[in-house]
Amino acid sequence: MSSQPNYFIECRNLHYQVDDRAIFSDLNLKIEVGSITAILGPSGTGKTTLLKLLCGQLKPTTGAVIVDGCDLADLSRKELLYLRKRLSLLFQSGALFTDLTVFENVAFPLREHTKLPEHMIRDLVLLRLESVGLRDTANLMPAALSGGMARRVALARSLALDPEFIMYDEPFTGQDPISMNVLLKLIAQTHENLALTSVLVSHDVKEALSIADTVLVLNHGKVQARGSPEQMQAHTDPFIQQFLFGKGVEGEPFDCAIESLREQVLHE
Amino acid sequence: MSNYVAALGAKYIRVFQLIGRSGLFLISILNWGSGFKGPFSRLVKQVYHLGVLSLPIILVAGTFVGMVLALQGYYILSNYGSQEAVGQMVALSLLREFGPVVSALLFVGRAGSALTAEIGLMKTTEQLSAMEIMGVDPFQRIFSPRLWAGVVSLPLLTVLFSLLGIYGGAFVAVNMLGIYEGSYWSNMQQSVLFYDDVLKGVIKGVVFAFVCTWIALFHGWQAKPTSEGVSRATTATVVQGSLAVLGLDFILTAVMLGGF
Repeated sequence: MSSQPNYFIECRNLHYQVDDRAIFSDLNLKIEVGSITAILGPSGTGKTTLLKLLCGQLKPTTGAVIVDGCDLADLSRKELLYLRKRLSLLFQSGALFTDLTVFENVAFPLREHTKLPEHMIRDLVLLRLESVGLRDTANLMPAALSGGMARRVALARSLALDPEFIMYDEPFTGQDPISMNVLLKLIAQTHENLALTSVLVSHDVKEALSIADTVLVLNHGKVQARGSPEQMQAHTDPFIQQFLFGKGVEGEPFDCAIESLREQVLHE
Repeated sequence: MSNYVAALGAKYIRVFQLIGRSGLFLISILNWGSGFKGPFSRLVKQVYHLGVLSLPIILVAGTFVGMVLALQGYYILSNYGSQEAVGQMVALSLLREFGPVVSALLFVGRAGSALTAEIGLMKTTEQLSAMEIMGVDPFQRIFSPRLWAGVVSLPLLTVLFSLLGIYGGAFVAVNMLGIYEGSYWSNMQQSVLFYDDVLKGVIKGVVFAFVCTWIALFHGWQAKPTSEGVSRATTATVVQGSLAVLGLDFILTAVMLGGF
């Protein structure tokens, strides 16, 4: 299995399109084992789509996604489900099961994949909830939680099976400064304590740069720049400067309109 | 002209693709899963949601349908002086047709729409995706118990519908219209056959249950992850489920009566 020990995930010449619209074209990236990689990019560049491609939920139009030496395209559905026990994804919405309590949500992967006795499941779940500071909420339903709390419960659930690789989809979106700092610390601590490989997709630049080892900036379906946070901060590309530091660039459109405003409004 | 032909062709290709997808979907969800305890407890939970919670509407509707049948039957049969046969008429109408068909229509409206909305919302809120990412197959974990729960629940509801209908009919015929109680029940006993009437009605219930639950689950799974998408899927379930029940009823009746 581990033919490529240095990289947990690789995308080779990845091309993905929906109908006629290309989301990624000729995308190449490698995620090093044990690193935190931040994937940044403006809204609508396909960051969440990329995560879905990385965990095999979407299939690339052409090209390959290699996870720990296995091409996802070669795996059967059963093998893919088996591989996914080693991966985890923290959804932007949390994606908690609304008909289960917080406790049962965190216990869900343990109950499905292990035959641990009930008292052990209980202890593991309470430890996981304690690690995200929400042991008191074990008996609440997800609807009773705030957005930040729901995401922390989802983090506890995604770590329940001790994955090797975890992906965070916009973990900081819509969080107040306190929740954001709590989440930031949790992500860094979890990465450190469990020796994970982490991928963080975000457009909260400051937070992402503060914990990442490697930064990739996506734009127009390609990796526009990659490097350490320090290298990114010193990058001279006008788009990178605009995206990372909000520096205005004359004539650089921020939206993706094909038709000019003059053509669309005045029909000129 | 060629554009029109192309558009028509594309439309039919989409319809056949949809039929093919629904067939593959059905094959994927038939698998009960490994072991017994886990899948069985999920089945029991779904039988409660689909069957037990549908009981009030089925029992009330069954009673009223039986009462109306007795009233109508009495006035028609009394023209021929054979109003004593009202029990036989109520029982046969309920066991052969009204029981399976009306129960299935009510089942699609109550349980089918709830299933589609539930699955559609699970998809919208990424709960199905979260399950897949955890390495848990939603086909086995979510869809399969619901399909089998539907197949278990609706035939039982059908039997209860007919039973309450027969008692409702007895109430109207005996207590309100003055038919002799002995002739209501003995006529029924003489004419109703277990295999031809009761069992065939239950078989219809099984077929309707299978098709209605399949339609409901498929539309939930196919729903666009938006509020409009879920709303459209729920409507499609009720419309297609109801039409499927009525169409299949004709085919099953024809086959059972040896019409083909």
